[in-house]
Amino acid sequence: MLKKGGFVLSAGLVVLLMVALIYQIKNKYYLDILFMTFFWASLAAAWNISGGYAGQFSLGHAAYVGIGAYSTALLYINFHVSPWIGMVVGGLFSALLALFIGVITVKVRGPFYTLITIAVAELLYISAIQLKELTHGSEGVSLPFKPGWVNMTFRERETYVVLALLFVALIYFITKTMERRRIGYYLIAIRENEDAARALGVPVKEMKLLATVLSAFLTAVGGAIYAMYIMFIEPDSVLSFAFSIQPALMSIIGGLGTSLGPLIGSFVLSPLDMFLRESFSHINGLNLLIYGFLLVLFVLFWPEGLWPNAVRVYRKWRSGGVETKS
Amino acid sequence: MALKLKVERLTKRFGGLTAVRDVSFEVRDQEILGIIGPNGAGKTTLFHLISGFERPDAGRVFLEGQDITGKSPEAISRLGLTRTFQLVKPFGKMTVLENVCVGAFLRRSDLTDARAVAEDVVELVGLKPFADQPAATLPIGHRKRLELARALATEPKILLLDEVMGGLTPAEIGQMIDTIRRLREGGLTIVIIEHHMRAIMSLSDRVVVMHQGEKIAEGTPKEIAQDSRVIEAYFGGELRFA
Repeated sequence: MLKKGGFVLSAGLVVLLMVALIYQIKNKYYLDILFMTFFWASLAAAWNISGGYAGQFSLGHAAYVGIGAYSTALLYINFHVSPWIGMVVGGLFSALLALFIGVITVKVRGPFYTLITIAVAELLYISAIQLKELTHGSEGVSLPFKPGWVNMTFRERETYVVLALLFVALIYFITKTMERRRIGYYLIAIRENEDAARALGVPVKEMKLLATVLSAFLTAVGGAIYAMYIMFIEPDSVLSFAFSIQPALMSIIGGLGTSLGPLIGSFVLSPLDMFLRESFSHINGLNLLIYGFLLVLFVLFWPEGLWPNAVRVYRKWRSGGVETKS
Repeated sequence: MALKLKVERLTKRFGGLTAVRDVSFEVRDQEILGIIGPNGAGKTTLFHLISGFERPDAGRVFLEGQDITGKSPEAISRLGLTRTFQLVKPFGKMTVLENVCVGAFLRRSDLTDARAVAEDVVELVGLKPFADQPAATLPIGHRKRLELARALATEPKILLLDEVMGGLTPAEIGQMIDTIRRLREGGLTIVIIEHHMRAIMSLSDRVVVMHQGEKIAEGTPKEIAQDSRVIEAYFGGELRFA
C-alpha cells in the first residue's frame, strides 16, 4: 500500500495529466460527455459517503442537487451573489435538510429510510413547481451569460470540465482521508453490523448524521456546478428522480463503500448512457432498454461491483504468480 | 474488595413472558463470575439489560457505583463495560485487524495508536496469522476469538462474555480458558455465560445459577455443584464433575 505522501502525489499527478488531456480535446460533444461523466462521478461519490459507507440507502439525493442548483441560481439572479458563495449556501441548506431527515429517521432502518428520502425529494419537486414567486415554477430560471471567475461562468467548455474534475478529486480525497480515520472505520462497522458497532462504543446516530450531512452538502455543491454549466434550471432538470437513482446505481455498479467504486461506475455508465442516447435516437426509448439490459448484466456478473471485483482478480492473479515461483 | 458491578432486582417482561425476574448479584474487582442455566433461563437477556441493549422493566444496574440503567450500549461501553455476542457479529468485509481496530478506536483517536492496540490484542487471542483476512472468511472458532478480541480492544474494566466457547474444539477451549485467566490477572473483571460446565467451574470464583428467569442459587463452584435445587432444576438430578 502507498504511503500517504505517495498517495497525494500520485493522485495529484493523475489530476494534472487529465487537465492536460482535457485541453487537447476540441470536440464540444466529447467535452460535454467528459463534463457529465465527472459531474455524475461527483454525485455518485458524494452519495456513496452516506449510501455506501454508512449504509443509509437514500433515493432522494435529487433534493440536494435541486437545493444546490436553486440556491445558487436564485441568489445569483436576484441578489447578484457570486455562485461560489451561492453553492456554499446551497450546501448548508442541504446539510440542514439532511440533518432534519436524519433526526426524524433515527429509529427507522432499511426500506423505510429509503421511502422517506424519496418522499422528501418528491415534496421538493412539487414545491419547486408550485412556489412560482420563488422558483418561477415550470418556466425555470435562466442564468445570464457574463463570463468571469467571480460569476463561475466561462467561455470555454474546458474550464467547466476542469472544475468538475477538481470537484471529483476533492470528494475522492475526502473519502480516502476518511478511510484512514476513525470515522471511516466506524461508518463501515455500522453498515456491517449496527449492534456489534454499538457494543464497541460506536456512536451510531452521530456517525450516520455526520455522513448524511456531509453527503448532502457535497451533492448540493455538485448541483450548483451543474446549474452554472447548463445555465438554465427548472424542476424537471435539477430535481428529477434521475439525480436520486443514477448516483446510487453508479456506486452499486462500481462498488459500494469503496473510494474508487463510484468513480468507476460513472466512468463506465455515463459515457455508455450518452453514447446509447446518441446512437439509438431514431427509435424512442431503445437506448433506455439497452441501458437497462446492460445494467442487469453488470449486476449479474459483478454483483459486488466492478472495482472490488477487479481488486479480487488482481490479488488472485498476483498470489497465483507467487505460487508458481516458489 | 471494591465492587465493580451491581445488579439490583432486574426484571424484564416480553408480553406475557417474564424473561428475567428480580435478579440481583454483585461482581467484585478482578473477579470471574460465571452465569449458568439451561436454555431459555434468561442469561442472554440479562446481558442485554446490563449492556444497554434492552431496557429493564424494573431494577437498576450500577457500574463502579454509577447508575447506568437505561443508558445506551455505546455510552455503557465508553464507561468501561463491553460485551460480546453469543451469535457472533463480525464486520464481514473488514479484515480481522480492522475489526479489532473499531474496538480500539474507542479510546484511541489516531489510526496508528489504534492499530498498535489491535495488533497486541490480535496476538493475545491467537489470531495473528489471520490478521489481514476478511472476517467473513473465518471459521466459527476464530470468529469467537475475534468477538473477544474486539471487546478487549475497547480496553474495558468489565467484560461480559456470552458463550465464547460454543462451537470450539476441546483444544481451543483450553486456550480460551488460559486467555481468560490471563486477562483477569491483567486486572479485568469478567462475567461469563457458558454452557461448557468444566470450563465455567474451573474458571469462576463464584457462579450464579438461573432458571426460568430467576436466580436460584449463587456460590462458589463447589457449593453450586452440591446445591440440591441446582441439581434438580438444571441438571435434572444427575451431576458429575470430572
